[in-house]
Amino acid sequence: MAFACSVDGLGAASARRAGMTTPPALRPSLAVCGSVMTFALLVERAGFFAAVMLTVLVASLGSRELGARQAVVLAVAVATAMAIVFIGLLDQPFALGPRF
Amino acid sequence: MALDHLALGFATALTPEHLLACLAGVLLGTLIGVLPGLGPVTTIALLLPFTFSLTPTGAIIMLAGIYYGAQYGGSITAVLVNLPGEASATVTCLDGHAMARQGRAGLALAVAAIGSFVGGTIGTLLLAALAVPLASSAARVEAVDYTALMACGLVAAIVIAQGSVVKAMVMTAAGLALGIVGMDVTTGQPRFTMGIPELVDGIGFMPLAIGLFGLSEIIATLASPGDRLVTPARLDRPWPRPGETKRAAAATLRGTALGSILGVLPGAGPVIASFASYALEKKLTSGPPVLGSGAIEGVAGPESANNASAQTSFVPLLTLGLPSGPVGALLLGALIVHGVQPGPSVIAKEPALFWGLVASMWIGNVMLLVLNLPLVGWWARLAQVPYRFLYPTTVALSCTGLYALNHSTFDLWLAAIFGVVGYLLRTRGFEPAPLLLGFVLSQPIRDNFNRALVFSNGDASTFVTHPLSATLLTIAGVALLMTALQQRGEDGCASHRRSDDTQ
Repeated sequence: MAFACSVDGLGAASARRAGMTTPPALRPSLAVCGSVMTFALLVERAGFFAAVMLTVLVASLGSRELGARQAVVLAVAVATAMAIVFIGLLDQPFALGPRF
Repeated sequence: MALDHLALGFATALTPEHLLACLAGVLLGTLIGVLPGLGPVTTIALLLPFTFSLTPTGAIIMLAGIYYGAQYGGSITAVLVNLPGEASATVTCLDGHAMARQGRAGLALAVAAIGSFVGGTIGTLLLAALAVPLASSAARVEAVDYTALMACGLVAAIVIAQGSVVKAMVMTAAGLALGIVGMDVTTGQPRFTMGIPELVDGIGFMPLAIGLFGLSEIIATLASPGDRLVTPARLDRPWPRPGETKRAAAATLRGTALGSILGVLPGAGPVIASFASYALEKKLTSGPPVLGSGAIEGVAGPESANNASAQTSFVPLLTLGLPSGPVGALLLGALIVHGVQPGPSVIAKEPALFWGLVASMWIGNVMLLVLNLPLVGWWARLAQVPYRFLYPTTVALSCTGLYALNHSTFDLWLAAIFGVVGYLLRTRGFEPAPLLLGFVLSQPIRDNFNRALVFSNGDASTFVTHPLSATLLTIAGVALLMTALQQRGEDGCASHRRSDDTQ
């Protein structure tokens, strides 16, 4: 903790001195971090397909350029392709759907 | 003698079964390695079960093909989307991606392919000529020298880091500290695990690498819309500008020489080779363009160095059973599963396996060049996929690759945390590369440090009384001092210019 604080202090001081004070961007941080957490929460409960779909959907919130319809199409396409590659071709022992 | 060995090797490697294994390995390795977030470690781990039906020679030939195929695939993602497949491709990101941003991705990939081929070919020839004598001399290098060698590697990471030397040193120390987390093998005591059982085995390399590089890069790119990945409308033909061929060729030869030497030393391997080659190019290249802003030497040197060392790192792996990194460890495990016990007797007991592997590496490198040069344009077209479609796919692939390794959701949580931490560090001007190298070397540097002290009965002067160790430590110290002084001079000039401007 002390190490983290001193790293942050050192960085902040030198950034101020160099005139660079960029505030961290919240939206992309939350979207990317949240999408990985979504995958972690869902992959063993809801299955691989749903986990990948929701991961893509949550990640897509990080950019304002991707519309809702495009995001859904991308999520379904990525989940389908990855299910074929990882479960179909690479024979990974992932459950495709939820386990009851 | 060496020719007889090579003849046996080619006779083994050119059988249809082994040729097919090599081709399948190279193709699969590149295919999966090119997917961002899936480097050689994940690729080998994913494909390991498929080799169990092959003979030991076929299996190791295929796995080696996957290794250098995925390594080249990792370089492709490093150039195109700034995501290193593994630590050794980290430095390729610096100039390779800068070239891609200038619309020269095709050239960067072609230089990487040719550099990898030259490095791989010369590395393989050296391996064939020097395997037996080098194995016996590598066995004489002591723990105290390994410690000094790794200290040199850490200094190389600090020297090549962009920005402040102090910040790079802080990041290296952070990497060494993160590597301490987990159970102490000598005392059995858990260290810095905070009562979390999953941390008893330590922090994994993959969650750290994917978080610090992959995820934090995605956040940083999304956070700066003006600085978004350039997706050039038309890619250049992969031909160099006048003068660049000569510069690339010189850097390739320097990288190959450095990589071949470093690869033989156990514990060094492709990571240190690529970092050391970049440090060397940084010292020798005056530009323009300067290293870090799209210089061709920054791709040619490290790419040939890491491929050359990937070939020569098979010497300590096969003859001493010492892996040079996580990939080596996986290959070692695969060999043992196939009933081959790596050790000094492997060249004598399994000549067909050893020399067949050596020959197949060269054949695999030819296959990579033949396959990848025509495909350069195809790979480069990946850079034209709009970023808004690419990054959610990359996140999903990274999650799947990470989960497939250990089936551990804890690794995913760690990656998410490291992603945000990595992004915050970037906003404060801290480079993640020295942290990763510090982390990778943390365990071996501690093991060798302890071993050296045990051998010297706790006398720390052993590090300066051993000639090789003393030389290496002196080189490291001088390099660090010179970089610090050079930076101080540059900072002084910059502040002087600023004060002149304000007057």
